[in-house]
Amino acid sequence: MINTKGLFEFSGLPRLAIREAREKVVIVGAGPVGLAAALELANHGIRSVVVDKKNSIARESRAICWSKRSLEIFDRLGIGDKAVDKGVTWKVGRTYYRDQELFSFDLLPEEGHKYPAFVNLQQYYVEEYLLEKAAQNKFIDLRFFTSVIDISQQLDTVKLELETPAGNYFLKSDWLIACDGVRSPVRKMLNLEFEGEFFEESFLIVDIEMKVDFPSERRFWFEPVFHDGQSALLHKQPDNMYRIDLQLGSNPDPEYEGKPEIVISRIENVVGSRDFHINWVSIYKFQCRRMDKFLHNRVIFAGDSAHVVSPFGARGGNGGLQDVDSLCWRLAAVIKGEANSKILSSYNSERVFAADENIANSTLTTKFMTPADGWERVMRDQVLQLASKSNSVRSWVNSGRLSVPCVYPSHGSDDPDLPVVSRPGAVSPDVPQPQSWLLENFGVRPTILGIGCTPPQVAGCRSIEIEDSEYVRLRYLGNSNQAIYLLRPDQVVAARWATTKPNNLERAVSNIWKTSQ
Amino acid sequence: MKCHQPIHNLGQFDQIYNDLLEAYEGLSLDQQQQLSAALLICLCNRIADPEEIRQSIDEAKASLCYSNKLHIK
Repeated sequence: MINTKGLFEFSGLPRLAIREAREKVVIVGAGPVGLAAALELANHGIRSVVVDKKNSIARESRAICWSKRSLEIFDRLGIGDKAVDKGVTWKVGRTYYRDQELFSFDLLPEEGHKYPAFVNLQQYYVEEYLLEKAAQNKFIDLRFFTSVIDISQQLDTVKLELETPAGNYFLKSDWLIACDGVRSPVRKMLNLEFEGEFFEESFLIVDIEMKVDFPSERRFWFEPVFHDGQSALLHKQPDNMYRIDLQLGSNPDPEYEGKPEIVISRIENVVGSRDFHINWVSIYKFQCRRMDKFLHNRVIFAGDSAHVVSPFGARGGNGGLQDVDSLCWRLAAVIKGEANSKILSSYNSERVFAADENIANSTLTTKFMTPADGWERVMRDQVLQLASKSNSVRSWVNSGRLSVPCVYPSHGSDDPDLPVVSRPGAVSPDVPQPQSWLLENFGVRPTILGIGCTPPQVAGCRSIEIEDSEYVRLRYLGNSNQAIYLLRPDQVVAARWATTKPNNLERAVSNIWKTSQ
Repeated sequence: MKCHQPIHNLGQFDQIYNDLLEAYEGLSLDQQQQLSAALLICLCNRIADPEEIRQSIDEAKASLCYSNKLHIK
């Protein structure tokens, strides 16, 4: 399917398409979010057809920062270790004001996690790894050179017209997941709004190949001496690749800024006179937008098709993977008849909440990085001035609040004496186990975790008992001697108790399949 | 015998008011704005209670609205 040049091959019209075939799930878009959705559904035993108009994986690096949570999701999809092995692991960020380092931060100060805070890895590697897995998976039918050109919805069906080099055909599906990116043709075909804010500032984004051993850190400059009055970001990627983002101000001339000699001179200002090769150049403006809702009858939106934020904070690709995490177990349960389709409204409410959190973070970062003239600039400059002298002001400096999983609003039972990090609505924190890591032991069913006690057995759940340890105490027990945690299939804490009766637990398990617990 | 520094018997907020006036003395409008920003950041940092700070912002804005109304009249 993938030839030696990394191009997909068209495999002809599917045989079933002679008549109208009916699928359980069609996924539009074979980017990271679409492929992750197909693999996660396959983990739940659900078949899907993935269609994409393109004929190769992305040539540009695009998304490069993959968060710890994304790596945990990748682990379930079978590519976690590969991503870490190839990627550049980093957890230290340095922030500069003019020529002075203001501070550095450590994103994962505690040990005892399987995955690091962040790995930098070009999107094309992520797509390649996911695609390799998807191509080997009997539950996934990949169809490239295939564009959706028409969609109609009936009560329980989505009907698609697909265009291929060998002609068009129709396909019916119970569900459609639109992972077709920020310009989503599916969204346009359904005439759905994509509301939000556009920012005036333009940025130059460049990937360069350069043989130099800069440390594996994120470096951000406010008003650096090499790029007067603007901001700059430097990230290291595998294969001696470096990502440089340079603020260009409002309304630059894209033709002028895109000229090779201008780009080269700007890069030389950052990296000096070293030899480098430009791999990718793009000029872009921030936008923070989302759809009003992500669920439209039988069409579900995930990733950039549903929401888009500015890149400082790495909340785009990581947010899309968290959409997949929240959606697929619910959709699988609906398809298998284990839950009513109303459960999908919880996907909508959770991920709209998360998108708003990402947009709010991203908007505040953008305001700080590119303040409007007047009071906004006075405040921003004073924060930077004070931060250069006082440690206590450093947390005001906002060069991007990096992606962490959203803590969903939850009505699940809680014991406030247990640690806040594992409260209901939060993703279960990982802890080392004698032979493995805790999260590796969770399956596709809800998990009942007993700590310092034998977990009760409840039908349809996996029960695991773990022993007390330094990290278990820190992340799950606090000062309690024992605890019982109920975890959803996406590893989010549904409820927890220091002690509880079996009927409370059974009720909480039943709620997982009904509401957004 | 130890000689004590003479302390004027001023009200606490009278003293603070005077300190604020003195801090802004001789500054241009731009500098006054910069000092206000720096001072706000330092004060908020010390208060460190978002709810207290929000209430203070509301109070201050209400006072601004009130004085604007007086001005219009």
